[in-house]
Amino acid sequence: MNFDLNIFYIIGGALVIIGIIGFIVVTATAEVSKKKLVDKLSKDY
Amino acid sequence: MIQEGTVLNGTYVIQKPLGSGGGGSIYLAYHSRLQKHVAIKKIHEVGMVPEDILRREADILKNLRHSYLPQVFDFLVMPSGVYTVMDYIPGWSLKELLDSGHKFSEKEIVKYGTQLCEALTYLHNQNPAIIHGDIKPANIMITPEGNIVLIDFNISAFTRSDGKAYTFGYSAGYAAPEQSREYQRLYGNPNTVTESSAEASRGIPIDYRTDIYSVGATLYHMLTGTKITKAPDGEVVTSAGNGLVFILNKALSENPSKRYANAGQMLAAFRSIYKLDKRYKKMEARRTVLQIAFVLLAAVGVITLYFGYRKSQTDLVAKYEKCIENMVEARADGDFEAFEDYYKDAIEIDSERADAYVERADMLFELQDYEKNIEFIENDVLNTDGLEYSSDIGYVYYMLGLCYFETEDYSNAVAAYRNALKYDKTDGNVYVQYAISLARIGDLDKAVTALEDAKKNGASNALVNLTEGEIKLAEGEYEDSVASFDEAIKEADTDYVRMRSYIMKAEAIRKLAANTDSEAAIEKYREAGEVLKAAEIAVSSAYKTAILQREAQCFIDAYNISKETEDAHQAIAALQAIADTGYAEHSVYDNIVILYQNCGELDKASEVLAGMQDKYSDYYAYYKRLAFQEILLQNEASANTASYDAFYEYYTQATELYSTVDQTDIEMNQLDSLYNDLVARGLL
Repeated sequence: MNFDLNIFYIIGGALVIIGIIGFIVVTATAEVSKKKLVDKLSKDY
Repeated sequence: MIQEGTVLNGTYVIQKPLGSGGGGSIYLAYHSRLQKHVAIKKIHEVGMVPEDILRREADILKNLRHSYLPQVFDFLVMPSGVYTVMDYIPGWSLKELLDSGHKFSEKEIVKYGTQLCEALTYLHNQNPAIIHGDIKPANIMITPEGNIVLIDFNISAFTRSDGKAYTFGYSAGYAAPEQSREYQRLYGNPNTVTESSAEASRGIPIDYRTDIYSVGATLYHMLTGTKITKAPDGEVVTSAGNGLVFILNKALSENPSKRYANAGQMLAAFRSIYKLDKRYKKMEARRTVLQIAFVLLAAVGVITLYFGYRKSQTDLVAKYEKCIENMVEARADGDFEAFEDYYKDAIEIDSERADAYVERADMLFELQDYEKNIEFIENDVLNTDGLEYSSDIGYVYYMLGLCYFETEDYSNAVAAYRNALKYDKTDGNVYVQYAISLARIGDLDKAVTALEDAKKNGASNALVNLTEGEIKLAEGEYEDSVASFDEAIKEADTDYVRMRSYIMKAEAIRKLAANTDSEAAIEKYREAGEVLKAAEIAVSSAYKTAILQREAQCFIDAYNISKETEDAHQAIAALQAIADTGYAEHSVYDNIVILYQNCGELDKASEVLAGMQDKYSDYYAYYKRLAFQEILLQNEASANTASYDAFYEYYTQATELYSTVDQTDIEMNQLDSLYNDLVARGLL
C-alpha cells in the first residue's frame, strides 16, 4: 500500500516532535532547577 | 539516693547526682584508676528483670559504638543495686537549654532531629533491637561541639521474644500516649495493679514507634518552647517549614500505625526534608504537569498520525476501488488501452491486493487470449509477494486452469485446478473443471470422483451434464455423451457453459463420424457443423470465434470427403465470419484462399490474397500462397501465354523470408519441387 501524505500527518508529526522536545526540555530544565532549589533548601534546613 | 563520696566497686567515687528518670538515677562519678569522670546510672527496675538478662543486655550495651551515644564500659551488680557505667558527656542537657529559654532555630531542630534519628536507627537495628523508651530533653546532651548525645538507656528496653520491649515508667509530655495510658492502667490505680500484677511486673510494652513519638515530642518542645501535655488529636504542629511540620505531625500521630515505623524511616524523612517543602513540591508539581502536558501533546500527535494513516489508507482504498470500477467500465466499453492504464494505476496503489489482477485475468480470458493470460497469471500474479494470502488466489488458479484447458494443456490445467481447490474446497465449478481436465488426460477414475465432489458442492446441473458428457466422451460412449451435452445445453446458465456444451456436442458427433462409412461421415460432419451454427446464435459474440473455428473445421472435414462446393462454402462462410471480427490470424485467410482454390474459384482466392497484402507483406506464408495461386492461374492459361515470372518473384520472396524463421513447413518443400520442375521444363 502506498503512503499518501495528508494534513493529519503534518499536524500529528508536528505535535509529536513538539511533545518530545518539550518533554526533554522540561525534564532537563527541571533537573537544573531542582538542583538549585535543593541546594537552597539544604541551607535553609 | 547515693551519698556523695560513696565509692562503688572500689573504683567509682560518686560526686553528685546528675538527674533521675523512669529508668533510674544518674550520678557524676570519678574513675579513681583512669582518673576521669564517668556517669553512673543506678537502675530502678532491678528485681523485676532477672540478673542474667540484665548482665547479657549490659554486655550488648558495652559493645555499642556510635557518635551520638555514650560509651558504656562497665556493669556493676552490687548489694546496693545494679549500675551501668558510661562516658560522662560534658556540655548541657537539652532540658537545661530549654529551661534557660534558649530558642532553637528550625535548622538546629532539623540537625538535632537528624542526629537523634541516626542514634535511634543504630539502636533499633541492634539484635535484639534496643528501644530507648525514655527520650526527652533531659536525656539529650548537647556537646560543646554542638552535637547531641543520647543518654540514659533503659537497660530493660531490649525487644523480647514477643517483638516488644518493656519499661516501667514514662516521662509525661514526651512519652507516647499509649505508653502513658498503659502506665496509668498498670500503675496509676492500686486496684488495677493488684488485678494485673503479672502484667505490672512485666512492664509497659513499647516499640520503635514509642521512641518515634518521643523524638517528635522533644523536637516539638524545641520548636514551640512548650511540651505536649495531653495526647494530641490530628495535626499538632502548624507553623515552621513544611517539611518539619510534616515530619513532626507524622511522628506525633495518636495512632502508632500512622507514625514512622522505625527510626530509619524518620531519618530518611529528615535527610530528604527538602522534598517535603512547599517550594520543592510546587516545583515538582509544575514539572510533572508540564511533562504530562507534553506527553499528552505527543500522544495527541500519535493519535493524529494514526488518523492520518487511516485516512491515507481509506483514500488509497477509495482510489484503488475507483480504478477497479474504471477497469470494469473500460472492459465493458472494449477500451482495452484505458483498461491497461487503470490496471497499472491500481497495481501502483496496492500491488498486494488481488482485485486488479483478477479483473485483468477475467478480461484476458474474455478476449480468449489464453497464452497471454497464462503468462500474466504465472509471472505477474502468482509471483507477487503478499498475494499468496489473498482469498482470491484460489480463483486466480481456477482462471489459470481454464486458460490451460483452452490451450489444450490439460495436465497443467489439472495442476492449476488442484491448487485452486487447496484454497477453496467448496466450489463446485472448480471440481467440474478439474473433472473435465482429468477426463481429457484419461484419468477417468479421478474424474468420476471429482464429478461426485462437484455434485456435493453445488455444481449446477448444466455443468454436471457437461462433465458427464466429457467423461463419456473420454470413455468412447459418444452417443451417450451427445445426450449429456444436449442436457447441458438445455440447462446452461452461462454463455461459457453453453458454448462449451455446443462445442463438445459437435466434437462427440465428429467422433461418431470417424466410425462410419464415407457417406455417413459426411452427414455427421455436416450435423456437427449445423450444431455449431446453432451455437452461433445461442451464445454471445465473445465466444463466436471459438465456435466458428470448429464449425469451419467440420465443413472442411465434410468437404474433404464429399468434395462438394457447398461444404467448402459453408467452411468459407465460417472462416470469413472470423475474419470479419478483425482479430483473425493468418491461417484463417490462408484457409479461405485454399478452399477457394480447391473449388476452382481462383478470382475469389485472388481477391482474398489482395486483401491480405497490407497485413502480411512481411510473412513468407503469404508469398508461398501467392506462388501456389500463380501456378494455378498459369495452369489455366494456354501454354503460349503462361508466364511464371510472377511465380518466380513470389517464390523468391517466400524462400528468403522463410530462411529467417525457425519453422518447418512441408508446403515450402512442395514449392521447391514446383520451382525445380519449372526450371527442369525450361519454363524458368
